[in-house]
Amino acid sequence: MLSYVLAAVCLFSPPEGWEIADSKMPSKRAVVGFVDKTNSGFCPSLNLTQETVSIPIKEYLAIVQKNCQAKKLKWRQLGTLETLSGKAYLVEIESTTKFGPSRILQAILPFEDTVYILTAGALKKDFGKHAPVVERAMRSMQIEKDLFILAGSKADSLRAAWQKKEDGVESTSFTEKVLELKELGPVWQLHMGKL
Amino acid sequence: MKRILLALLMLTAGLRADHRECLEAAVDEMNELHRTGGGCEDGIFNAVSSSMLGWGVGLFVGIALLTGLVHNSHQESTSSSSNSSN
Repeated sequence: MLSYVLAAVCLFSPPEGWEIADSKMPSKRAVVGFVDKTNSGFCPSLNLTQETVSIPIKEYLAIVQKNCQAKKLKWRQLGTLETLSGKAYLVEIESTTKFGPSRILQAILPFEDTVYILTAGALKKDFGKHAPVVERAMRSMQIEKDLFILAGSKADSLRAAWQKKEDGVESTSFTEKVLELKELGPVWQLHMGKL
Repeated sequence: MKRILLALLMLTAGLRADHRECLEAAVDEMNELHRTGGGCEDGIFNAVSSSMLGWGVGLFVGIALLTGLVHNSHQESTSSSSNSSN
């Protein structure tokens, strides 16, 4: 279990008001997703996936480009974006849906032998409206190995509560403490919930 | 002679096992390479499906509301018609 605690995870701050997407997402590589349900129609969304890779990032991007082109999707590299854990590669994909042309933006952040991919999707005509919040979410990407340390002064009590849960003594205290730390965001809470 | 044949058989069996392992490793590598980029593909798929699902949930709520209204209005009309018949 300790190995999971020390496994790297990607955190990010989703835009305010966006709801957590259905946890039963079809992909095994999906970690978490958020949807903006304020308007009807094709809802803007944001989701995090990850993949273990053993090739350099440039080669990885070339494969991704080839895969997209094979599916007749417009793929374009936009450059890099500075996140809290270094440089992420920004990619734009265009596809057509029943609702009209859609634009997908991916921030691909490599860390050790894993790439973390934050994907935002919206209708092309609406994308500009959501671009600032999407960019903020992408810039907030942060790879963390020790989730407890982020709790600051509460880290020790949180770790103790988790240990109690692990020992089968008590589990509610840990859950309550995690839920209380709203400032660390829903992605952190979700990862803590999996411990 | 029997010993020599047995030794040869064991050697070929060993070689075949090695060969199979190499092949399996190659197949794994090929599969791994073939799957590379799956994270990005899944991200795209999730983005589109979540957006659709959001719409689907909205539609479901709309239908549920509409069904409720239709149900209520039907009840009202039934009660009004029963009142009128009285």
